[in-house]
Amino acid sequence: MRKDEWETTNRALVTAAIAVFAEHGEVVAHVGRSNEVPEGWTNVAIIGYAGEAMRGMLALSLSHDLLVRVCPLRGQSQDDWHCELANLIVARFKRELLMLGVTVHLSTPILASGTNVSLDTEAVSVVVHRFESAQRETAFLVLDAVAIADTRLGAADTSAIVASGDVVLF
Amino acid sequence: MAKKKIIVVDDSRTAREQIIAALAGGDYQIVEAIDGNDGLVKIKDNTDASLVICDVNMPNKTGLEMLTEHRASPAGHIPTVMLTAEVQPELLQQAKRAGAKGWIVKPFKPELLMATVRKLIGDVAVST
Repeated sequence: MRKDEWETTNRALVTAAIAVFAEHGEVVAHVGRSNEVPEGWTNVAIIGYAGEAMRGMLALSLSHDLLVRVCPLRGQSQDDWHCELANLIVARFKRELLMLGVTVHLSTPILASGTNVSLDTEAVSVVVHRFESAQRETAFLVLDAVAIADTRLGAADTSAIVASGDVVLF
Repeated sequence: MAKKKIIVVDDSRTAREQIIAALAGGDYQIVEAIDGNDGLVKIKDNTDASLVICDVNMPNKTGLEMLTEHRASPAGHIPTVMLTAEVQPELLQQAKRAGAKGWIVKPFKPELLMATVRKLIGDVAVST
């Protein structure tokens, strides 16, 4: 994958995350990125993805207060909601990739919990995106990707790609 | 008159609770299942159900695998609508071929879910 295409892929992820937080009533800003995965997390939701063009995993860690605030129901298991929120973000990312002509398949999310959770990534290309709410709460989204040779992003036929909230009756 | 029964299949408890909350005004009896395998068991135990609402990406057995088995079972007449964050056109076509009645994309609008459910189980004719 060329450098500009890798940047496009990362922008797609950022767009997806901001959109999902917005759908849950929270405005978050993308405030930075790095290639170093922070340590010391207590909860990380992880979802694998794989396709002909790329494979890897996405991980979401965020402040408990932010997680609770975007939860659509009160009194829910935050572990379960953490996984569901990651699932929504990754599915939205998948939609962005479909628009770029790339299809990936998603695993079901798992939650890694502990006192000092760290991620051991496989890929050369690891980007950690940092988001902040208006209350300065943080969310980290890790994109760990292995691009398979000859991967090229391109315009896709988007007419059949549905969007969040859509209802299609057969 | 007995309440109409709806089987909700989703590995996320939060998602199941959201669906139940959205349908709370409809006076339905909800049966929950946590994956495709559990969904098939709950369908077998509730052949009088009016509708199955089913996620796609689930552990053990996916929603599309469950749909295929369900449609081939004696209870295969119970209509199924997929409710998922998945948007891949091929998956929609696969669900359609397997006999699903519809596809709703998460996060869903509660009023549209209720309207779709009512339409599919024949409570009222509502256009979505």
